[in-house]
Amino acid sequence: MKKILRELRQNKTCLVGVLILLFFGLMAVFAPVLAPYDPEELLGAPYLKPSAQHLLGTNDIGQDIFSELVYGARVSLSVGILSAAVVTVVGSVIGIVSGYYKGAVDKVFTVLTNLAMTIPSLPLTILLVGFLKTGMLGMVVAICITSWASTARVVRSKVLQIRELPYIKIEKMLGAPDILIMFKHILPNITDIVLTRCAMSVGGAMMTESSLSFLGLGSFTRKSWGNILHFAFFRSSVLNNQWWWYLPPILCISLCMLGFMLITYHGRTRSQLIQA
Amino acid sequence: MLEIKDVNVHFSSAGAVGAVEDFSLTLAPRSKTVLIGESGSGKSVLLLSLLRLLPATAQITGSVLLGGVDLFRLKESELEKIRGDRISYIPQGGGNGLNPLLKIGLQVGEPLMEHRGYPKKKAVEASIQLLRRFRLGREEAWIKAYPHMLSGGMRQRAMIAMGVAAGSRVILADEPTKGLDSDRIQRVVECFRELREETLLCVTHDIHFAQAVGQQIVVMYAAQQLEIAPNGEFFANPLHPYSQAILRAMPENGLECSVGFAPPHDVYASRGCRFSDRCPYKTPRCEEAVPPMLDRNGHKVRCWKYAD
Amino acid sequence: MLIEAKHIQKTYKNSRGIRVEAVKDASLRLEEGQTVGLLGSSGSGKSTIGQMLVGQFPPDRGEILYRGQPLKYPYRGAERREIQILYQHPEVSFNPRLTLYSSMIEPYRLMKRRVDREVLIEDIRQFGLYAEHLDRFPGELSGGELQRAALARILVMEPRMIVLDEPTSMLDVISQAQVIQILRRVQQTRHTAYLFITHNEALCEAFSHRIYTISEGVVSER
Repeated sequence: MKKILRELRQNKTCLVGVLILLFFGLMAVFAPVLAPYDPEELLGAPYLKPSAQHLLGTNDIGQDIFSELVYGARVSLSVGILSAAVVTVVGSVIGIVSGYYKGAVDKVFTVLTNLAMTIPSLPLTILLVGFLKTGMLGMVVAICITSWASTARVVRSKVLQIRELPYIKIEKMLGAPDILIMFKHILPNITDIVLTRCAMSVGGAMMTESSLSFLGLGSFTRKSWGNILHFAFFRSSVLNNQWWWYLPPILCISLCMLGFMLITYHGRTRSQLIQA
Repeated sequence: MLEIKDVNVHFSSAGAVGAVEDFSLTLAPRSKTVLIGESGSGKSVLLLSLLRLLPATAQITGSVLLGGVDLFRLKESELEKIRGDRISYIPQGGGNGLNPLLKIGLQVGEPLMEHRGYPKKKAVEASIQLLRRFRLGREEAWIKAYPHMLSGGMRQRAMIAMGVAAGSRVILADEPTKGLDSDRIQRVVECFRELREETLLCVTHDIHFAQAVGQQIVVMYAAQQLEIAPNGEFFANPLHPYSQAILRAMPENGLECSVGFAPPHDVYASRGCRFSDRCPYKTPRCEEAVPPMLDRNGHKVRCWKYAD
Repeated sequence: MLIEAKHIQKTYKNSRGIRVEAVKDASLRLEEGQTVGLLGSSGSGKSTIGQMLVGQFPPDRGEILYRGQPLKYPYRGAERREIQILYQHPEVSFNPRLTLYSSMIEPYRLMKRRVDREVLIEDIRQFGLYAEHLDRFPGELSGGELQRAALARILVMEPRMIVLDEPTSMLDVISQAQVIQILRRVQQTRHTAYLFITHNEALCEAFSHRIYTISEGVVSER
């Protein structure tokens, strides 16, 4: 923990990323405290301009936009983090197994990976969301179905390098079980890459979630930022110059993406340093 | 030619202990000096410090006089003119010092373009002569090759050619035989013997190489110089117990282990001689203070055994 | 006869996809308790032979007999345990994320032997390693210390034969002599056989009972 803090102090880029994410994380956790209203509550007057009572005005059916935004962080972040967790675990396991065993196992997984990478992911995801229709969980599954591939590919290529190192060969010669070699000796040596990919995946998943919600394919019971945007656009907020409605969710999404990108960038430069 | 006086190198991250302590050495013109020591003894750090090529965390004191000019007092821009022109550095590890994307001829000739204003074509032509001097063989073909196409030994020789290209009078070389097998080491030895006009300071842990190339031998251990002697004198009559142990441990001398294992604790923390924990001749005095460098008719040694 | 390779041969594709005949024809024998040198320059195929004997990959042609029985790749059970290897680069012979202690206890676990700090400290003392070393990471140990630890580690498996693939070429002469001294002592007490792969003729002569030379993939007895 101390080590992480020291590193953060030295690396300003990463620190900014962490602060941004901390901000949104706290916002999601303390949403009930921060939000002045229940985002689902119909407060009466629709299309109100920002005021002291409604910081960002109200939407077409009279819900407080600021409260929507605060609660939206919960949905957006949880979909992002949940998807990233699944993507990272699945991608890493496939990458490690495929890189470690090589041969037939690797061929099968490589074909699968290439397939997942060549299929246009957004149309497939849209299709899946349409079929699955189970709200947030369906969304997570739909996002994961294609996005594990790039993680698997990066992990695999790193594992291919590591498996040739003497300490891995020695383990094999000692007769250590494959599981032990893969998860005790290989995995800890690729954590940099895995974590970097994980941060990237969160950003990617949040983006996909926002796009889907924006297209009206998201969960309607729980509002995400993309969902707010969806209604803002379909109720012509841009034409009516209601910037307080469409701009804040865009800013939130972009900032979050920036936060994850800064961390990713830091992770990459670090692993390059270690390689050098 | 090159006068190194009381050079100390400290890394701010590593606390108070030095990587190089009170290093002094005089290199006569056209002489060859070989610095031997195990890895971690500070020999490579010393070499890098002479040209101020260490990272910013290193604090360097002392002076290095090249023809009366102190390299440590020069501005970075002035030093850049001297590097590669009057003093060259040949880094460790064969190919790593070469740019993998540039052809050999261009790289070997580059110092000529940089410091002598040669046009590209002339520099590449000159590189053929340079490589021929170090007997690369089929030089016309090799100048068109990329570094990875050469063997480790050939890359090392190409780097030596590059080092002397612009007529540098001082060559600093770091572990030129590392990772090479005996035949290839022999060729690198011949290359260094070929350097008649140049002053050489070479760092190695290869004792055969030191014996074959060095006129003056310097032994370094745990950041300190332990012994400085002419080649013949050193190999016939090494004074320091560490030097004696090195020679006894050579395969042709029976691989004898006359000293103990390196102790697990930090030898830099001790007040006394840093070799004392392993030394078979240890006396109480050895643990009390670091011995001074004693001069016995030009054969210098840092050991209490010779203090009286 | 402990192990015998009969006319083994190996071709592989290098990084540029070109087929390289690394080992053309190699036959060699190794008796218990003997050190047999395999002397050759780099690129001669000497390491490839060592890797085949230790079961890293099988030969394309020819066979390897262990106690008179042909070895099948991959090695299992006693064969896997009894044939071990020590590599040239001690600094990458240990998982960089584990302390020496964590790395060292692993072979004991694989052998289902009881181990704790005290047992380990007792066992590593003869390799010139001490309790203080156990809490360090590989990056904090010298090449000589790591190579001695690597040897201590494989010896837990009670090997009958060890392939020594240039184990001292990255070490300074004193560390080299110390590693060789330990190897000799181990051989005296445990009767272990060594295949000593090296390019260093003087060292090979000083350490081996018998020497094979290899040149361009062909092995001959000297």
